[in-house]
Amino acid sequence: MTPTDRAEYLTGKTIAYTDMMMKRWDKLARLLIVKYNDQSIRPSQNGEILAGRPGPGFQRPEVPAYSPVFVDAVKAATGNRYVKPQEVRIQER
Amino acid sequence: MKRLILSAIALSATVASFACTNLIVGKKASIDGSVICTYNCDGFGFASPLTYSAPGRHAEGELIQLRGWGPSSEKRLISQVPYTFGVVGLMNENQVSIVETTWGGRNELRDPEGYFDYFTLMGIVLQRVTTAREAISCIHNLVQEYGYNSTGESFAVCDKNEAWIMEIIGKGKGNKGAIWVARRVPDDCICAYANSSRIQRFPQAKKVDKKLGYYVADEGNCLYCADAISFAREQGYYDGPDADFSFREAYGPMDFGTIRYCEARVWSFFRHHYDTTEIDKYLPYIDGDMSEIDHLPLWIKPVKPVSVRDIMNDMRDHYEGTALDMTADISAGPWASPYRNQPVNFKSSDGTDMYRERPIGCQQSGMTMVCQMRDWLPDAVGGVTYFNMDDASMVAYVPAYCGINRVPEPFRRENNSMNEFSTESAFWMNNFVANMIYPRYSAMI
Repeated sequence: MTPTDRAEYLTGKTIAYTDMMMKRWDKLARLLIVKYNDQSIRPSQNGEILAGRPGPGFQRPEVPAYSPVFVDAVKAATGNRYVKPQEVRIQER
Repeated sequence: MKRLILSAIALSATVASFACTNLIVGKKASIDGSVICTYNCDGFGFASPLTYSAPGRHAEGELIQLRGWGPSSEKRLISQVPYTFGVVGLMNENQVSIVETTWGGRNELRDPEGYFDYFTLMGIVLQRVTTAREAISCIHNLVQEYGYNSTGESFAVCDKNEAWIMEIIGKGKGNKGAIWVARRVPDDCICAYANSSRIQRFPQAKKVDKKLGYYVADEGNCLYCADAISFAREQGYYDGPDADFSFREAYGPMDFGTIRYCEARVWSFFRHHYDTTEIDKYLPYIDGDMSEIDHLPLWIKPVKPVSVRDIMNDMRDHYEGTALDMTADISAGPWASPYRNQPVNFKSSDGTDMYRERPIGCQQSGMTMVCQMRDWLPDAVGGVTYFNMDDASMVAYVPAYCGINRVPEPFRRENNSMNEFSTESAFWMNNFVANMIYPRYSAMI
């Protein structure tokens, strides 16, 4: 292999890896936009979003809770503001 | 108890950005005999493309004009050499690599009239050398002849056999040359630095090597300029015996910021590759308490050999699993994110000075590279820079061999505008993905 052939071969490999990376990241970006839309998480498998319309096989999006550390800090800072009452008071008639 | 307070020493304002991290692995510390050095090049508002300069022959007497940073009142012309080597990024075709971080140091030592800023210096040196030792000598000779106009810098200067840490600072306005020390990292050790000077005491020699023009000590494993100590005395930075002289204390003294925002990154890197109980003994120092321990080791021997993959993960570190873990407390927000979108220093509403951690992996990296040099392969393929543009934590490293003859389009300067998004730009596609993840980190990573 001549030095020029070697340089072309190595350059071709680097270009191929770069192209692979860019294609993969374009696909990843498009997946992320859909999967995490509206602050929820759509189930996916192998990079494909699972059934997304109400009906048979519908995979409902998840809306996970905040981290426990954060939740505890919110509770500490806001007192009973966000504590759910155990029973609902009703007006006596 | 000696605690550090925010120092009144006039240190360079560039340190306020606390940009960049470099890690170094000696050839017997790596799993396969590679020498490795890395670079997260950090700074908000800039993208750092992969550059390429072709090899070439040059006519006798040819001059080249330096196109460094900032305006200059005169053309900065320097002599060209007969042959320049090809350079891909920060590695030349001989597998010599130079990376850097800025530590600033004493403001008054910057020479604005010097021809070379550090980045231009690195690029020119790489065109001219075949080994790391030649690179150190070339740096010395170029700044002696043409001047150095940057602030305090640490360089990793590596080839396929040796890894060096070199620290350099100017000599003040109108003074050519620079003050520098270079120490060879033992082959079985790892080293790192991150925007603070790390070389303290160093082995000394009795006489300057007449041919080289600088001292050669410790059987050739420590090199330093002729006036490293005498200049400090002249400036009033040091007045003790030569044997006790510390480069760091004289030229880049520490404060809480340089320990917590800089040394802590080194500590976390070391911690990945050493007994964690032993490394955690340095936590008081990392907290700014220097009463018991006042420095981290310059290098350590890892408990087991380190791979390129290990080092890539180290470049993505946010102190996870340590006392400084950025995902672990309320400041990480609802999604336990190690990313912070506020300055390192800030105030609470009652005026209390506050800070946040500064990790190795960060959103403002303009590029990240892991340079691997392998002596058992032909240079063209043995030297490889794993490269991408953005936060190391959010990118896939792409191999760019030192023997390539052009840069892939997504990494070229003309395809990476700072002001316009493009799907053809590696910087912007990486940022596109990363910035979706930052605010909902634990749900998405």
